[in-house]
Amino acid sequence: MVDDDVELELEELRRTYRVSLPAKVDALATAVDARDRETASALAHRLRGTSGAYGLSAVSIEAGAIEDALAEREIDWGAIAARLESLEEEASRVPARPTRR
Amino acid sequence: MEGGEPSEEEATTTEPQRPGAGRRRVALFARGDLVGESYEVLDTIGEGGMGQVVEAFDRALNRRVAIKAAWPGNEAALRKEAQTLAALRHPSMVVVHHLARHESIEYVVMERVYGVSLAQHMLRRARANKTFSVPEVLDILTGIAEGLAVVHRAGIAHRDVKPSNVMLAPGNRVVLMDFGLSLSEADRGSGAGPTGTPGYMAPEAILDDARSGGRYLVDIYAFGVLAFEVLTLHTPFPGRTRVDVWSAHLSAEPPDPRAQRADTPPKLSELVQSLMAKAPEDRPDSIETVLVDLRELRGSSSEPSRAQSLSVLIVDDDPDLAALMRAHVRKTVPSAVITTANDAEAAIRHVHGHPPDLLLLDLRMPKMSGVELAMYLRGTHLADATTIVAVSGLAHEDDLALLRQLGITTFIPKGDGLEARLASVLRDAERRRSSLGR
Repeated sequence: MVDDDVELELEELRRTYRVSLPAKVDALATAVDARDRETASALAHRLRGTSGAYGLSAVSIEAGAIEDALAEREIDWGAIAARLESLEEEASRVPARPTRR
Repeated sequence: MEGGEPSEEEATTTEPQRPGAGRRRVALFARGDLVGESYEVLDTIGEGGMGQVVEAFDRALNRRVAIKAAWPGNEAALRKEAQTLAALRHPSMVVVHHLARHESIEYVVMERVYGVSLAQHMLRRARANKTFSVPEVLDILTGIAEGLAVVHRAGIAHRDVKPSNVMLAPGNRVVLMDFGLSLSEADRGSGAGPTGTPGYMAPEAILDDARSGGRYLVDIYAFGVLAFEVLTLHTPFPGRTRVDVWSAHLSAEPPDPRAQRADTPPKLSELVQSLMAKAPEDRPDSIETVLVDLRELRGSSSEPSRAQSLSVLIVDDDPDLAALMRAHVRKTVPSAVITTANDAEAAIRHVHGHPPDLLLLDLRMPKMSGVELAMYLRGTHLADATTIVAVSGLAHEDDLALLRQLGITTFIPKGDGLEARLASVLRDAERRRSSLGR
C-alpha cells in the first residue's frame, strides 16, 4: 500500500517538475540576460542537480555546462547564451509526462 | 583556525599601543600568495588585534594549514604565542609547525582546526532562544577546563579566556585559542597595566594586581564568567561601557545562574558563583578541582532518549529536490520520520531538538553552505551520532576533502543514480540504528 502511494507521489512529482521546467529555464535566461552571475550560477546549479535527479540527463548536462562556464574567471557571455539555447531546446523536448520504463 | 567573532569585544591592554591599531589595515597575505616557498594562501579566516589568519595549502606536505601573520609592531607577541603553544602538547592545543618570516612579515604556521567558536555557537543559540541542555553545558565546560588544566600545569596563565577563544572542533575536541596575552607564572609581568577582555577580567586583573604564581586564578574567574554565559546565554556583569563593566566586576555580587535558569543543578550554580568570587583566594584553588566537580556533575546528568524509527533530515534549498528525496526515503524505509529544511538555519533549529539518524545535505545553499553547516554541526557536537551524507549536483575536490576531515565520506551526485545510492545509504543507516538498539 505504502509502495503504491509512494509510486503515485513520485509520478506526480516528476510530472509537476516537467511542467515547471520551462519556467525554470526562463528564470535562468533572465539572469543570464541581466548578466547576473550569482543568480544565474545558483539557478544553473539547481537545474543541473535537480533535473538530473528527475532523470532528465540532457537538461542536466546543458545546465551543468552553463554553471561551469559561469565559474570561469573571465565569463564568455556569448558562449553562455549559445549554451542557453541548447538548454532551451533540450527542455522543450521533455514530454509533460515521463515515459513508462 | 582562529574564528574571531565580529561582535566579540577585543582584548584590551594598555601595552604600548600597537601600530596601526584603530586604522584600517592592509591585508598581510592574500589569496594566491606563495608564502615561504611552500604555503599557498587559499583564503582569509579572520583578523584580530595581533594579526591576520589565513588558510593555506602546504605544497610540501600536501595538507591545509593556518598561518597567523603579525601586524607590524606585534611580532614579539606572535613569537611568544607560538613559543607558548609549541611547549604544550594536548588535543586542546593547536599544533605549531613553523615560525618564520616572509619578506618583512613574521608568521607562524599552525594546524588548521575546523569547527566553530563557542561565541558563534552561543550567538546562534541566543538567536534561536534556545539554551544548551545541562549535559551540553557540562560537556563544553569540561572540555575547556581540560585545556586550561594543561596550560596551568605548564605554569602558564592564558589571561584571555572567553568564548571567542574557544573552538569546538570535530571529535568532541575543544581547542583553546589565542595565547597572545599568555604569561608564565614565573614572569614578573610586563608592567603594561590591565590586560584581558573587559567582560571577562577578574578584579585583580582590572586593578593590575594579579600576583606572580596566582595568575591562573584570573583564568578561573574568566572561566566562571564563561560558564555563566554558556548556562544562561547572558553575561553576568552587563554594562554599556568598559568602565561600567569593570565596575560590576569589582563590586557587584556574582549572580546566581538559577535566578535566570531554574533547571541549573544547585551544585553547578554554586560552582559557577564560586569561580567568580571577588577575592582570588575564595575561588577554587585549581582548575583540576573544578574539573573534578564538573565530571561529578556530568556523571549524574542523564542521557537524552532515542527515537524508535529512523529519523532523516533532508537539507536542500530546492523544494523540487527535497520532495523527490522525501519520496525516495519513504519508498526505502516506510517507517522513517522525515523532516525537510530549506536552509542551514532551519536545519540547525531542527537538529537542536532532534539530532537525526541520517542527514542528507545539499552542499550549495545560499547564506550558509552545506560544508559550513557540516563544520558547524561537527564542531558543536550537535549531531555527533548523526550520519551525514553529502548530496549535490557538483562537488569540488576541496570540499570533499574537507568533508572527509569531518568524517563525512559518502557523496551522492544528484543525477540518474540518486535513487539507488540513496536506497543503499538508507538501508545502511537503518541497519546501524537497529544494531545500536535505538
